Amino acid sequence: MSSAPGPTPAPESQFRKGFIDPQALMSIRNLELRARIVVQGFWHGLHRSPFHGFSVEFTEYRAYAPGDDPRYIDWRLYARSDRYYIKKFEEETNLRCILSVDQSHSMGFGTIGFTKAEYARTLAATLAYFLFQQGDAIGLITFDDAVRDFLPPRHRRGQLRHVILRLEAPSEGKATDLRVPMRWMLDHVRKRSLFVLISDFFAPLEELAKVFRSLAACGHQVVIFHLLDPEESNFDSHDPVLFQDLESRAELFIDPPVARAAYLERLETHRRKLRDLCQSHAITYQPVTTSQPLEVVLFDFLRLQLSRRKRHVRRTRQ
Amino acid sequence: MNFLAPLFLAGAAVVILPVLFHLIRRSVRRRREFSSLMFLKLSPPRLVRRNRIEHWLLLLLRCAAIALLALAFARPFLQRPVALPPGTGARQLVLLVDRSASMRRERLWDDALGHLRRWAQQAGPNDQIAVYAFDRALKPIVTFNQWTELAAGGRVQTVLERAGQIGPGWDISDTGRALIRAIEIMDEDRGADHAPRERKIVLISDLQEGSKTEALNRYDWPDDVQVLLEPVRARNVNNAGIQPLFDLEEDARGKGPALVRCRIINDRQSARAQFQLRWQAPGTAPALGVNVPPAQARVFNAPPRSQTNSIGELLLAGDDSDFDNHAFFATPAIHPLRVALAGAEPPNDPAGLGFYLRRAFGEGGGQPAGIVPPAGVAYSEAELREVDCIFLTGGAGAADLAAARAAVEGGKTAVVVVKDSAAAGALNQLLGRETAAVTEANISSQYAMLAEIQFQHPIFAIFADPRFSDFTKIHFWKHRRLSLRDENVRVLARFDDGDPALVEIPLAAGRILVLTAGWHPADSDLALSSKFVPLVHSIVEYTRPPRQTRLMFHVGEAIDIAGLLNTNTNTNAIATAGSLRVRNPQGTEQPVPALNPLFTPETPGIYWALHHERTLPFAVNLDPAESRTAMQGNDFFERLNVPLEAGTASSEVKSAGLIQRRLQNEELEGRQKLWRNLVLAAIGVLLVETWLGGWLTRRALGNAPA
Repeated sequence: MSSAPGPTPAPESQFRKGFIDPQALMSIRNLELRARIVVQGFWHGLHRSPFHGFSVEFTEYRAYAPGDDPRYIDWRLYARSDRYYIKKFEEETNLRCILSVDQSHSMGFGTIGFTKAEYARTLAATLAYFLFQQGDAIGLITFDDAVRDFLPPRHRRGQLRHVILRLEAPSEGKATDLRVPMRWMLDHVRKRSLFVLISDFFAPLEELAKVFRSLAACGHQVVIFHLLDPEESNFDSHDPVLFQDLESRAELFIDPPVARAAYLERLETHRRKLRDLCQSHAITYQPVTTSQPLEVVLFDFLRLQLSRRKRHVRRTRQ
Repeated sequence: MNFLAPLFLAGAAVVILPVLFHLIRRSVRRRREFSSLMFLKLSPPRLVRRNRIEHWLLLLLRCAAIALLALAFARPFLQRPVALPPGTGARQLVLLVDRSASMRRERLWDDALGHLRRWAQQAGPNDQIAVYAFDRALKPIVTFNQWTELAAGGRVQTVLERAGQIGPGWDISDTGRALIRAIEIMDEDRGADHAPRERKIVLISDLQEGSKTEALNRYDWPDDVQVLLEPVRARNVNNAGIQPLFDLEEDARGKGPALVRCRIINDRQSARAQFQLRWQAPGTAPALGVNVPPAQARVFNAPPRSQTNSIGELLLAGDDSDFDNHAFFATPAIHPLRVALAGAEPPNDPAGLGFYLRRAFGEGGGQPAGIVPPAGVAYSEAELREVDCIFLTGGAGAADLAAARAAVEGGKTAVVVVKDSAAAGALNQLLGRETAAVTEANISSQYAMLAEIQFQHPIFAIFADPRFSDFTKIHFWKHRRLSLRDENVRVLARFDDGDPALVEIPLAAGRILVLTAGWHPADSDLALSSKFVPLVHSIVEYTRPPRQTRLMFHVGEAIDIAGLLNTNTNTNAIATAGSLRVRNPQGTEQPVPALNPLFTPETPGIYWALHHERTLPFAVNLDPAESRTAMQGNDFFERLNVPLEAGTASSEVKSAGLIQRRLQNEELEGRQKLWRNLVLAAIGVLLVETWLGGWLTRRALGNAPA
């Protein structure tokens, strides 16, 4: 029995209505509170949408056959559809998720009232809160040019609190080495897990292909959040100034109107390269701007996960 | 202020760079942190309207440094100001018009008159102008005084009329002397009551290479006089000239009529080399083709002619200008030696003196006879007046002696050979008194030799060369000892025993030469010596009056007409007043003063000197320098140190003037060296700018936000 077809994702504009502006969200100092607000807002928005039963798309179902354990009958689905369906592999839908957050200096850039690092922490906390609620095991890696902190994925009482506390801890912020968290993952996480990497990816991409391959070979699923500030995406400033690199402290005289076209071209090339790299390694690539509401980011994340899971089910059934 | 290298002033345009740099200067204080520079590249600065200059003093200092350096590289100098003397400010001009023979080409004279007209028309009311034509000398057309006296409206016409009357001549152009004379005229005219503003000589000429300029070599040119060139240029430059030559010696050696040769000079700028040469007289041989490359001269034999006249005209054809294509010849008449020989010896006796003398003067062997025999038994005085010399060899009769004495008194020369003591009588008869005594000398050795010889005397002058002065090989077995009571005796040669060998005794208008030994074998071997013939010829030449062989002159050359007639007609005396005349080629006769019988021909051609029944043709030709018609090269005036007025010279001489001006400017700049001051000023400005820039930077960094 095939899984119930998922509803078509609602346009983002419908989701945006009523979501908290990220700037306002970041003004909340408590990270756990932020995460809770985002998740609740996400559910609230989901209920408002014309698409119900979204959550049921996160399980595999088959028609009830005599002899199945009635404990696994999804009664909510029965209430809606008046048919008996068994949740399949429900225990296998519980993820082991490791959230990896880039805490290098470049993440300290922000032009809309908060930095990318704040957004990344909030996004990680939100994902951790959501997944923990779903019963998934969550873990954490914080890194810059080395792994600064690691929490193995667990679903225990207090694990979420630990993750939040680690996320709230101040970071030194140095240069970026994107291979570091993934190598750590390979070395320290044996079971297949969901690896979520949140970074601005301002680093050379040449060495990532090897690590991606290794992760895929170990059965890990990778999701990449490519996080950028709106100024980094659009390069809208006008005044010619001396630009200073946050990580290397190098200075360069830049006249933005003159340099904008070339900058955007190079940035797009970098993005495309990263996207192609992810695509070629079955990695989910999700570009995010810090001006986007986190609910939307969460929604897109879950949608991508669902569509990925469907493809996986289809392959296993064939 | 002037500049030697004004192009460097363009470097001052670089001063815009500091202005630009100040406008696009980037502020160090404005920094902005960005996440990563990996997608950014350095932006070139750009000017925007709102940019403004903040440090004006710094900008001005930098601009000043650049400007000072540009000025220094341009090598400025201050032109020496021309001191304008006080006064009315009038110009003093001398217009020199070349009227030499080369100005006869094409329309050169008309072009010269055109320049003259233009200058006369441009004259200011206060200008002092004089106009002179020049060739070998200056010829006034309008003097300063005449110019002042003429009405302003009629000056131009008067100048042109008088210049037209003068016209081009046939003489050479002495440009140097003309310029100097023009300056002297200006100095004479400049009075004490006023000083002209500028003094200038306008030279209207074809500036040919043949013009004379030697006078300027030693002339100290005044500082306030400039020369302005107004060249007249011939359109056709193919010119060759002919210069007559002739060889008298050829005829004297009996090779026929005098050989007429000519030199043809082809001008440097000529493009032709083939010409034709022919005689002017009708019925002569066909024209002779000759080849003379440009810038070279060749000598050719004139074509043969049927009539051997002493005068003639050769024509050259084949070039563009005819003025120098005529060569006039006048060859002097050749008079052979005529000698009288009086004596009793048989003519063909080899033991006698006459035998050798006849052979020395060409008797026999087909040579013209030089010995003139008497018409009768003895010589008459008239006959002896027609000969050049009288030889008395002993045994001459009384009639001969009497005629000889009369001839000697009339100016002839008699040569007495004392063969024996009896010759004393003949000598005394010649002298007209008993003054001579002759004895036989006693030669102690086998022979005597000539020892003391007066080589400075005309008789022995031909032997003065050390190659010919050795007479020791001539041996005299016998000689006579001559004693004379005449104090006027001049001993021309002595024997080695001290006795005179040859003495000269003046007698009235003539002279007697006495040889105390004969040349025949009885006395010596002189007749067998190679010196015998030149010695006797020299004696005869000494006795002849000097002959002028030259009968060809140049236009403008002063000719002594009386001397010409005397020497060429073998006479000694001329001229009562009014008897001397010259007939020019046009047939007109003009008298020549007897006291100052100099005649200066003005045109080429055949002239005739006339005195009573005597006539003598002589030729006058163009000076060959006038055939060098190419215009002077660029270094002409530079070599002469003549200051030219800028901007008015012809293209060929303009560069000479430019070169000279440039040299003067370089010398002036080299003395002033203003560039050093400018470089020092630029260094000072840069030092101040460096200090100010550093101070401003330190101040800016100190105020910059942390």
